[in-house]
Amino acid sequence: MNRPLASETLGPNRPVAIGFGWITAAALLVTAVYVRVIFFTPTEATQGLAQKIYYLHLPAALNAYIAFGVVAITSIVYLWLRDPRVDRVAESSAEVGLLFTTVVLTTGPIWGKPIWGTWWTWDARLTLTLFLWFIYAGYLVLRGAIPEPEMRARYSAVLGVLGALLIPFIHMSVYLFRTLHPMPIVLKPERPSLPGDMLATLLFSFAAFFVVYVALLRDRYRYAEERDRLAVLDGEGR
Amino acid sequence: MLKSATGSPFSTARVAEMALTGAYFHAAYVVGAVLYVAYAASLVSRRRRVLRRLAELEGNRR
Repeated sequence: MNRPLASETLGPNRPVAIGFGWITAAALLVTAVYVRVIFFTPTEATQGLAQKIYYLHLPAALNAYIAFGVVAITSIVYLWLRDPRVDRVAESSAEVGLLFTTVVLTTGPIWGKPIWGTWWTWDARLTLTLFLWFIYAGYLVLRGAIPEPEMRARYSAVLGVLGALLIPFIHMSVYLFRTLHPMPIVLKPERPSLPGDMLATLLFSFAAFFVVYVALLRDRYRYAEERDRLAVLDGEGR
Repeated sequence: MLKSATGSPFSTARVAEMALTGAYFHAAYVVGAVLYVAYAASLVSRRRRVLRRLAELEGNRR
């Protein structure tokens, strides 16, 4: 693929031009979600407005699972093919997944405080999610600590696969342990136990945040590609 | 199962309680927005830095 040189698109004194198409689309969709949540989604009878944190919290959790699932799959593909492009996808997806997990870990306590009466409790679902955050934070730290690209990609691919093994345990933790966290009301074998208009908002929110994931992954991948090109040019210049 | 409160009459106490949990709702959305926007801004800033350096190096090589 022949990408234009940075100097062709930028020029030495021109401002750096970065495409905002996907990011803008994602931002508009998320704004539409916010409007729908506030004005067009009924308020839950017992929790009040705090329940609407659900439309931010759950899509973030689902997209984090998807992001780390992509890390695991691309890491396996990397270990098989040794293609640096696949490693860049894994690296980018891990960083975006970490962002989604951070949103889960911050919005969850804000929801928990008025409903449970506490910001945090060391129950299985919350603790395992925190472990997941630490594993992928460690994954990114590991990548920064190994200068040799092939070794960095190989070691982090192994950690990327192992980290994603935690996801099924996180999902099943509410069945396996006594926990304050509510049982799934959508992702369960039976029909979702959520009123239709709330379910529609949830699905719309999930779709919007999936676009956020794709937009950020796309930009993060481009950054990784340009950074690697810079590393090669820097190496040649020495 | 979650219960939708649409159309149900609210007592004054219930409305006050919902207003209280409303502060948590808005706080969560503000925190979420700050995190997403901060990450997107960090990504743009990192890309700009790398693209500028690339432009310099490619300019020197010509």
